[in-house]
Amino acid sequence: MTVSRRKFLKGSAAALALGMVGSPACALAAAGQEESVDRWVKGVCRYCGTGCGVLVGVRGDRAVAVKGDPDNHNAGLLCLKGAMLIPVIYAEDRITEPMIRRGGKGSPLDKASWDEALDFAAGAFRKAMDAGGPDAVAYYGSGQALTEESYLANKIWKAGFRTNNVDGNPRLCMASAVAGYLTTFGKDEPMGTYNDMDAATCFFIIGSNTSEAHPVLFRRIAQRKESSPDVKIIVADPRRTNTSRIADLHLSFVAGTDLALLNGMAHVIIREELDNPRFYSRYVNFVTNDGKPCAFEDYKAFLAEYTPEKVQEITGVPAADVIRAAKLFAESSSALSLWCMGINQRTRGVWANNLIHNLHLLTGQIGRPGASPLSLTGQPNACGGVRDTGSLAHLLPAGRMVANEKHRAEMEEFWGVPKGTIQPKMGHHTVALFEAMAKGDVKAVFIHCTNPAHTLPDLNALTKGLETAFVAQTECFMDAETLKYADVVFPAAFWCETEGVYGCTERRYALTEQAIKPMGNCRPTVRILMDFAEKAGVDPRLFPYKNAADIWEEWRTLSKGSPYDFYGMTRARLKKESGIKWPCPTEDHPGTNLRYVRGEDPLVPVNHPDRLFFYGRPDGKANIFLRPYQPPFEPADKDYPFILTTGRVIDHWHTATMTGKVPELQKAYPSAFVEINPVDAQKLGISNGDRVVLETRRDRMTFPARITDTCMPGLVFCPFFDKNKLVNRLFHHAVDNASKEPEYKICATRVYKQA
Amino acid sequence: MPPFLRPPGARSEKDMKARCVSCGLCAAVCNYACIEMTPDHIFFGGGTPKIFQRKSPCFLCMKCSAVCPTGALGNVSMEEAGMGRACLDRARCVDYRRNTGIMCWTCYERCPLKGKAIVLKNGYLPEVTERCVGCGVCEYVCPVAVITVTPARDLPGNRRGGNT
Amino acid sequence: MAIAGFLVHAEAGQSERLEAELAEIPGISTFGVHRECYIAAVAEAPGNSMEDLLHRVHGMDGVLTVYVTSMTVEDELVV
Repeated sequence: MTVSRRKFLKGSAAALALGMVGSPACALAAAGQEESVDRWVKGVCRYCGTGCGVLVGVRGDRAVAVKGDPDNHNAGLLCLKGAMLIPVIYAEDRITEPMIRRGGKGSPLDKASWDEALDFAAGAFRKAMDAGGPDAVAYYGSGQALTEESYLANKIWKAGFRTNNVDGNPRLCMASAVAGYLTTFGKDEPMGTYNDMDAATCFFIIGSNTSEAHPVLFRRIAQRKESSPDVKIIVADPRRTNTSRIADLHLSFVAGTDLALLNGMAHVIIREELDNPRFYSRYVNFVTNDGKPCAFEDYKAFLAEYTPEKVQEITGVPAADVIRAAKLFAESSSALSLWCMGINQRTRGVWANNLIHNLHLLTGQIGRPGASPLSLTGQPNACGGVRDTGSLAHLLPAGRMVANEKHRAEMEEFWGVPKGTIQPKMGHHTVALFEAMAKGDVKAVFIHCTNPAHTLPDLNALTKGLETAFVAQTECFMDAETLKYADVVFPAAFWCETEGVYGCTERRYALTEQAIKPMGNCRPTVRILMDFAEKAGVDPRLFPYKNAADIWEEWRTLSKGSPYDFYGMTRARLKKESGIKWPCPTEDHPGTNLRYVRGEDPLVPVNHPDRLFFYGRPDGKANIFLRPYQPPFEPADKDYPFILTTGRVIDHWHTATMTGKVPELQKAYPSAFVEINPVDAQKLGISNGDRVVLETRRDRMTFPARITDTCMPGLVFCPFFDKNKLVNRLFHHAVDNASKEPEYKICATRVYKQA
Repeated sequence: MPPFLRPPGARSEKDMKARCVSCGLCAAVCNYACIEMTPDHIFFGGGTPKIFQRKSPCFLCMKCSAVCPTGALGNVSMEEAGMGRACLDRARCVDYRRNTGIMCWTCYERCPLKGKAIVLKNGYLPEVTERCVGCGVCEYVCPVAVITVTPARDLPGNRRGGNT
Repeated sequence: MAIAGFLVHAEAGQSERLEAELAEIPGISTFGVHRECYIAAVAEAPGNSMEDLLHRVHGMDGVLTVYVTSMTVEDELVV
């Protein structure tokens, strides 16, 4: 007997201890594995409008790692979502074969060949057009589609099928920002860039939870404050989000009352003589709410009722804080405003955008490093892909409008189609499109790279259209809600399985190069669109492209001489650099940081008499609009006494068909919940984890409660990522009558514990 | 045995084991099904409640501490749960590493006492404060396993739960 | 006499030093540093002082926490 009992026991104790040294199954473990990568391919993150540059590590024929591109604006930094894109590419539920629902709606989806699927879809489109003309078909696109895809689809539908029923999910997120820039400055898109964050001495963040929606930008702001503690941050948000926790001043206003707050700040600025007459007398027109010219004195009189005390009454923000915010904004050397869906997704979203611009125009906090109104874009390519290419129902490329005869003629000539090809009437905007589908006016729709059955407002009403119309859809993941309505599914190549350009918040166009082959039988969407269009009867001479690069070449040429001029961004140059900011008229132009500024913006003549030139407007001046406060469409009332708002969480992108495939992200946020303020929770007898019913005029749903002081009393919040909890069923679909963007941020609800 | 925590309001190990009658009410009432009744020693009885936080952490719904009939779990509030204290390895946390280029904050985001038990220093560096009650959610969600909870029974000087 | 297997989770950079210190404590044998921060060890002590011994380990400088992975207690042991 060589092993004593004691030795045995000690040995097994040691063995057990050693066995417990477990290893986390971790997607991040691959993130830094440089040694096992053959090559790094440059690209842009698939997710948010921050547009971080990435490098995809390829080993053999597989993508194995993602890291931040040190040469792009994010300086190598990525949030967890971007860093963990590899498991998404190789998700088990990737759709890799075309599918057809042969038996009509409700029957199962069967695998099909490409020809079968394309013929099936094309046939349905032809049938629809035979019955109802060109306007019986539509295209519903996405701010996550590549620029080349959106440009191509816009051309095919408007000049090929000859319908202006081209819209996309940017209608649901950025349309108000677009209309805000257009009405105030004459042209869409911000004039500053992320560089302004490094120069600003005052940040005014309103209607944006930057820390969760644009984490890399938030970190840039947080580090700016860390390195320069005198920098002031104002966060205006009904919720006490993580973003607000770095603020010097958090303005917690009742949801929907922010227009009063913004007018209140303008009131104080004028009262305290912090406005800049030298600036606005040279650069600004004053315009009444119904579009008539007026004068500064009229603006001042208009603002007279927005005293800090009155603003406090309306918004709940203490009068002293309104004054402090106004002074911080106006007195700082450079004030940068950032905003997102809290401002845009409103029935008064355009007005809210105008009011933010007003503050900058009133004080001259504009057109200088750090001084700018910078709208944060939600999606990675709403700007470059949809806004700039004009892929919306009322637009044509590079800022043109379908209603403008000269613009139509320019596009018809450039595209080589007969005069009169493009219809003069605007097509259906998104909400109207789905209503038209329900009515049978639109009989067939092509949906690309978006999930409307999850993301439309008032889902119970608006998904009716998906039940009646023929739906051809590109989709990568089997768990997308919209697939339940699809008649044909085309498997599109996903992200770095194809190449194309994304244009992010700061006017930066950057190229994602192809890193790996498309999985299974997937094809690049530009190929799918061209094959489909040809079979559906569009003259193939309209799209003589071999690949996305050819499309880019055409779009680049079209932009020459326009306010979007990016002629200098050849494909070769985009491959070499990590994104370039337009305007960029020539190949040796470095790109533009400060738009509208003489000496910075190449579209401003070098000998222009003034430093700024708002060349988007006929007289070169921007507009201050006298927009009054108006409450939201459905405020809280005695029957439905709470306000319900929705939004994102940091670890999920939109409908989680991608982020839900990453175990670490799914683990952090497995399912939806409702945030309730502790005071409200106590009154309702609700504790953490209890099942709570939210009941609106549209529907009723149950969520587990999360008791937290993030929401103010009277406000509850649900994230919208969970496909098992489609919170958009609870919302109405009222839209801003100028931008047609729905009010996702505010509806009225009852809250009670489930019996 | 994998690392485990006692439910909120648990007294010192000695008191808890003396009072616990293995009735399992705490496990039955748990909203998140994270309490398991397991034996403390092989061959020894019906077991005491444990939360294996890496499998399923406690989200501080506090139903268990309210329902315990013998006071093995004292009836306490979220802030007094007294389960332990989280400890973050700043050397390996990705947010502290200036050159990996990944930002996380997951522990902060998911902490049931968000902004109190875990705060973000300067807005972006997670830090555990003394208000941490050791529920284990952070340990559960951390994608790089660099934050772990030391159970109350192992904390020096604090052999007891939050209940005085 | 009790025999306990345990893992010491050490702070970064402290593992080597801690392992050496632990090995010096009477009744403790160590089995290497793993994943740069876990020290596998076995402690042997009378049943009524095992808890104190483990608490002492827990209180050592550089120790984040101690995971006891197994514990066996016997009344008599043939040495």
